Amino acid sequence: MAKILIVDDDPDIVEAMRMPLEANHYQVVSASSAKEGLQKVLKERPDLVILDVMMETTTEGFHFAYKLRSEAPDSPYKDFRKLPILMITAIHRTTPFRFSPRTDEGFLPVEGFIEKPIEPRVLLEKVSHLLKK
Amino acid sequence: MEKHLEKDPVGAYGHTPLPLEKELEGRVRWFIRLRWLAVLGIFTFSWIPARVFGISLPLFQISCVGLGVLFLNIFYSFLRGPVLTKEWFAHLQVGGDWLGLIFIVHYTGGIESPVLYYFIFHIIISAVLLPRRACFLDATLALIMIACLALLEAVGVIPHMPVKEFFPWYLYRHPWFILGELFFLATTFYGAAYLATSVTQLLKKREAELIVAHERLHKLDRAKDEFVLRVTHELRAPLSAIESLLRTVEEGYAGQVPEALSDILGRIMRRTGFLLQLVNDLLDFASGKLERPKKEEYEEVNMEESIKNILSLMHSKIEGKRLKLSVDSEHVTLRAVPTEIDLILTNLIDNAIKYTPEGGSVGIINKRVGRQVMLEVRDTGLGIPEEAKPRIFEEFYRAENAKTLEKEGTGLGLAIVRSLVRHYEGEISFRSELNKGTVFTVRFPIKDDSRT
Repeated sequence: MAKILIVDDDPDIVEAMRMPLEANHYQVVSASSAKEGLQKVLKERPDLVILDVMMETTTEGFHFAYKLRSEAPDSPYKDFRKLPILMITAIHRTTPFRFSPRTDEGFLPVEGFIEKPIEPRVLLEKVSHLLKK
Repeated sequence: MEKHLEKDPVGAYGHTPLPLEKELEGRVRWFIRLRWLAVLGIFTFSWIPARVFGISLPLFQISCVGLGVLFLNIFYSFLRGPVLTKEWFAHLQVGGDWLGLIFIVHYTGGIESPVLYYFIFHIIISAVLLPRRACFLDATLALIMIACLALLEAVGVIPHMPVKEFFPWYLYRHPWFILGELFFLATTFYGAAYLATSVTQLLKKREAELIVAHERLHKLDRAKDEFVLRVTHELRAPLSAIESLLRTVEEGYAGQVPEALSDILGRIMRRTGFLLQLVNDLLDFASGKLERPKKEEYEEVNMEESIKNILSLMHSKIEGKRLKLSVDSEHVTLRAVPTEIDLILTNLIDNAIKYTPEGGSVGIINKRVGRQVMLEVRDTGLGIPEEAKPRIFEEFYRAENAKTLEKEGTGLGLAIVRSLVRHYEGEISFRSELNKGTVFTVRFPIKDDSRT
């Protein structure tokens, strides 16, 4: 049974994802900040991370992703460099940094994107696809 | 069908101040054009009286002056750019013309010459081009020139060249006649200068006020957009959460949904869906006006490809209404931000589908016409009622017949399209006939510099 870590500061969004995931027999843990998320990675050893791009600060999601992927030899997350990340892009083409999966995919160390509002069917498809890889 | 080109009466989206310099340049060019007429006048009104009516005029000298003015004007007409609006250039033109005029006055009888009236024209011209003081100065210079000429002729320093048919030979030496003539000329000149500058000064003042008002309006409009952007950003997060939760409930992840609740849930979801659409449209609209994408975000957008992509997303809607779809698309590229082109296409095509009844047709044409990329979206739909035509690009405006067919619409789609088309210096127009259909045409200029 795969374990999924949701990193999002909006508890309602976490809940909206938890319900369909748990119904499909995934084990779900959550964190409400990038810092807590990184701690949970070490503690829970998840198989997949669902990550919100915009939390407290607009770049928090990116920091999480870059820390996790850090190539530094003494990185505490070196065992998790290959941990797949599904990024939630509630953001529209009009965020402060105009990020978009279409143009920035190359720069982002993540494996997939999902849009807010979350559609359970799409979420489950993406999750199972990433876990199979 | 009447063609409608969108207009922007207050220029709130134009972002360019009123082109004062351009207008002044236009006026100068107009004066240059008028001068060709003056040259023609010099020749016809000397040659015809002399040759047809036998009036004694020194044709050779007058023609020389005519040629002089002609050459000067040829020189002026080759000048381009900012030099035209310089004050010294206005003085140069007025001075040159007066030199020509004073010679013609001399050859047609000096102080007796009926040509003296023509000085009025230049007083009006300098009233338009120059500040009031300069205009009065010009009027004074003209009077001094005329007085000098009259005096020199009266005392015999230069010869008097009368038009025998007009006045008794001795008038030019009659002190009262000279004084009287000069007095009335002076009052006419100064009167004309005063009246003309009064009008032009009022206009200039209005123009300046308009510019200030325009800037103020532009700032207010910006403040409004910033506010809208902030508010919609704030609205989006809770709405997304509501929508996400509703979907999980609807799909049964929170337990079996009883039938009665399912119906209510459907209603709730329709309304939140609309709200989310509204917030997204507002974001597109306000941000499209406020923040321009960075240079790196521009790419060569393949219009043909973009149209294909958008249509594939709308496939089910088109099938659902059994619409006949025709696409006549060329391979043309446009330097633009892909998401913005997608927005324009989505809004126009979606409207065409939405407002066309079942079995109707929707056509898309995309090609290069000269230095423009032309995009045309036509439908056989509702059409736009006459009274709605001037307003359809307004934010939140929806025509009555559109509301009956499609209850939920934000009224922002065309406003977004217009604002984006403007960013590419394009133009959008439409033709529409009620119950027959509508054609929207967008034209984007192709720029050489942006292609590199």
